[in-house]
Amino acid sequence: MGSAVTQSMSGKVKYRVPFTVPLREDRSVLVLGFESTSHTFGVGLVEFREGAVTILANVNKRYTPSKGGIHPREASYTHLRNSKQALEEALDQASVKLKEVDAVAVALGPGLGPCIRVGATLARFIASMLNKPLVPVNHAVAHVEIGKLVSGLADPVVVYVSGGNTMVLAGKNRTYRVYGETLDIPLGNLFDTFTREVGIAPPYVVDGKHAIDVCSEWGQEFIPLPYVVKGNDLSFSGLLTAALHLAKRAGRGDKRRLGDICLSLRETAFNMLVEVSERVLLTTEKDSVLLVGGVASNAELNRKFELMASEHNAVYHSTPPEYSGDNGAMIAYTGLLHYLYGVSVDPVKAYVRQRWRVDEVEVPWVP
Amino acid sequence: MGPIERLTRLAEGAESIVLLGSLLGQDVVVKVRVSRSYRHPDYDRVFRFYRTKTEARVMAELLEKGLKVPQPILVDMENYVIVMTFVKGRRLLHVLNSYGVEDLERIYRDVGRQVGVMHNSGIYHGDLTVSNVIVTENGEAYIIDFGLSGYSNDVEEYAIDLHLFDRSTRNLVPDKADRLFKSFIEGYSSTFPRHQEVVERMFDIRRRGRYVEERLRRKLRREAYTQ
Repeated sequence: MGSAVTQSMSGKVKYRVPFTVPLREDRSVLVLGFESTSHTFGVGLVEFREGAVTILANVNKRYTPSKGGIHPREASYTHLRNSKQALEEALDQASVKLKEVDAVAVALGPGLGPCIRVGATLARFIASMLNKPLVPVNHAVAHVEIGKLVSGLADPVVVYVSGGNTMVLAGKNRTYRVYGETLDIPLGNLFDTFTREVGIAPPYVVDGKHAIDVCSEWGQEFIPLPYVVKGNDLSFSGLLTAALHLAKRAGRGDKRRLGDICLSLRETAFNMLVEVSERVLLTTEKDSVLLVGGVASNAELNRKFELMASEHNAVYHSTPPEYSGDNGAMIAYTGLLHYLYGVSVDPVKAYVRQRWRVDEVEVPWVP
Repeated sequence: MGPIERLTRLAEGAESIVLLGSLLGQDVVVKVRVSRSYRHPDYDRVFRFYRTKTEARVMAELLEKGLKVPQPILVDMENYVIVMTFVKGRRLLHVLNSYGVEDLERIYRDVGRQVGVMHNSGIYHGDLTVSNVIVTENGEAYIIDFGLSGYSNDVEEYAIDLHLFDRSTRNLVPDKADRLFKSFIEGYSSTFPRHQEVVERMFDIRRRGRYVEERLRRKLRREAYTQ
């Protein structure tokens, strides 16, 4: 990781892009990015200068439901209320003026329609007003790119796990190919739903620790649960049902038993994911593994991936929390890459794509 | 592993090491399910035991049905090892681009027929891809690697087999995939009475959200396959 990072005079960290990009050394580019695909409204400002990237600002405002899961409409209202302040804070943090921006990037999908529209509307407006290119960014690609930038890995097997996604990706022929993914619910959703149903969440995450991890510490014994791997794909819905069934039988008073169930649920789900990732690592013959997305901060998952990677002499990197969860900087940075390759969209045609798949995006910087 | 000679490493999978050796003059494959440090120790044993047992049972049962699969010779449940016959040939993956369409159609029809027999016995493969079919020198297709297989009467499991096989073909030879899948279904429907139900479920699986745009883009229609 060391070589990719240098500390600049202003205290902001500079990252070297782990591959070559088409920009003359003497030019610099400033990109503004908006993220609003799910629970986070984020604004990022990223500058490319002399072959290095500096993240000038990364301001993120999170919507937290008081009960239940994310309500798309409520989340979008929260984003609307936060948007102006987030933008102002970001410009302030970066000490740049809006008109200095060279391009505006926005996450147009995949995600929740009402939420994406908030960022999309704002980005279309600013791009039109400034008469600057509007760059559409795929949220999943952005997670991968920021992870690669921060870790310095050029061509890893990428494991993307969050509340809304679970997939194992690797670059091939200018796209991120999906080698394995969940057939039903994502990993983050599995943990959220389980902890909510048994009454220990929300809040889902306290001090960077998910309720499932807190609960797992109460348990000791491993209970076999359905382990469903189909090819390189995963299925978590049967696992969720089985765990909920056990929890119901145990009753709410039995903390120790609930702990056993949490431990076994987490263990089974993580083993499934690590096994599939291991298989992808072997079939693609890559030499590194990168974990990105909201679940990347999970200590136990990191431990398992580290063990798996070391068994195959592969390098393993996770992504630090400020860049693993949804954030504005990753959209700005990925927008910057696309911009350097001449990608932009007419604001009138910048449609929201709720089901925009990662493998549909051309990423020319991937070999 | 006393009597097995000249062991060399053939492949390393996510949960096993596959070795090639010789037993009484015959080439054999030795599949060792290795321990993984990332697994919970209790779970590690349960996992390896279950996978080894199922794999050996499924292979033995399919052999009885006359399918072309490796023959288990020795099963060691204490060390989670299966010794089986070696199938000499090339992976379907590696011949897809070099064989003519007619030859491939014949192979796909044969694989379809065998998968039909398998499903008709209540067995699913679980990892049916073009990497797990071996084509021998005289053009026979063998299905290998039953590590993720199991017993089920659920149409879903059968549909996943079809889905994986088609998707792995489509990834490599998108222009021939429609024809090859049609041949597969010809063979499949000749041996499995519930074929229509399975194919319909396969399309249902693809409609479950994540494949919607893919389907719209390629304008895949159910009629193209079922008629």
